[in-house]
Amino acid sequence: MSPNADASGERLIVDAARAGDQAALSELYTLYFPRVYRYILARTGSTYDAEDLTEEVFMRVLEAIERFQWRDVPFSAWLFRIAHNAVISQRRKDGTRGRPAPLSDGLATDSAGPDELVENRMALNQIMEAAEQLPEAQRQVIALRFAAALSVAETAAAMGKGEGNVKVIQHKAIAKLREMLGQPKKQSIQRKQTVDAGTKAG
Amino acid sequence: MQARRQDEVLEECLSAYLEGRRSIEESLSLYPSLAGHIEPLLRASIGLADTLQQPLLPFNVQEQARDRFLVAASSRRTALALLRSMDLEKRVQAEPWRAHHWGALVGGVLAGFALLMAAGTMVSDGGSDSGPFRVTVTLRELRAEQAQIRAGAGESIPTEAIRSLTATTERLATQVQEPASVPGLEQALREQFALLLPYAATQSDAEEAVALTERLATGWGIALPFVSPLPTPVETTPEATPGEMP
Repeated sequence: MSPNADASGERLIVDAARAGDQAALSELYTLYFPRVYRYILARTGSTYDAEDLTEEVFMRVLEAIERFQWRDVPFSAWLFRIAHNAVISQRRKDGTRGRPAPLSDGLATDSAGPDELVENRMALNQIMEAAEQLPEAQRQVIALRFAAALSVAETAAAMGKGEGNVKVIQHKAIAKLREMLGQPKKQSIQRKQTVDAGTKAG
Repeated sequence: MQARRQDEVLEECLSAYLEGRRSIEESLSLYPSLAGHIEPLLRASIGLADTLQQPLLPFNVQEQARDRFLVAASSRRTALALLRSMDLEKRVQAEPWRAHHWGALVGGVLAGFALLMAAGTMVSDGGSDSGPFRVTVTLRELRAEQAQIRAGAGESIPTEAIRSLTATTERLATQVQEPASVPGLEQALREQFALLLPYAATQSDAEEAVALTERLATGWGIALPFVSPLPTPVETTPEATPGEMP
């Protein structure tokens, strides 16, 4: 599921980044920035917070990467623990400031037309509102698995849980979200399958 | 058992779809007895993944952020190199004999002798000078202070108690070399965070102690628990287990 399927390649990049190699740091940034941003957006529901916090996470990475050790957890799990702590820290500050702003217009998406943009944003808002009702562990699994695109193994390592436990939590979270959101986006999936089929045929 | 199998099959089918190995229909045909239960959840999961992976930062914003990150990395590297060279220079000035090979040899012999003496002392007094032992003692002190604060927690925590806890935490930070090999460290830090967080909004010293705990957790790769920042003391955040899930 991870875009960085080549684990040994990632290891080389991370080791070079630990030694201060600028190109490796840049590559890690490119590889993980969008995923960290989506994870934080899914956790905070605010594009402003997500933008600021993602930058902050990478600054923290810079300070801590020399101490990263392969034998403890995979790099992705280590990185998303930092992101998780940044979200907690932000939530603590929000506790005194009130609720964060909703999704803003600063959001861009892969979609082409304005109709699809609006539809996507509405879907995103609905999912985030529904996810707010889930227990913390379920929210975290949804954000790590679906927004950050981590594998079950990486999600388990990031959360300090077993893979079996993560699968159980994921199953319950999806069932509950589906119940809260009603029948989800079947048209969208059918459309995607049509596009996929078209691509394969072409 | 059946529920566990459903969890496994759902994940297996989801991964296969997301990695482009199988279509939904192909996956369902492999598990006909579970298809009725799995299909709607699988479609919902794919819808979730589609939606949650849509948001992107505008390209120019992302590029500007990357530039800031790389500038910070470069500045940090230069500053660290400078600090290290200054430190080395200082050491040579303070101990010029270290710059000579003979000096290094004598230094090595003396250090070895000191090590032997220290080992003898450790054996005789039960290892009180050893690093791991010191960490264990400090960690125990920290847990005792946490317990004391927890027991007396009311509308606020006495300033003295927070100061002492902060000092012990800072001492621990200087002693821990390999966080993953210190038993109980993660739990202690997580519980400290949960203990202090409810007071952070109203007490600046608690706020500072929480910030210190956060910094250490990040440095040591420990994930902190989500705790309500409301001013109600919370002891611990329970871990989710399959049996406890709603």
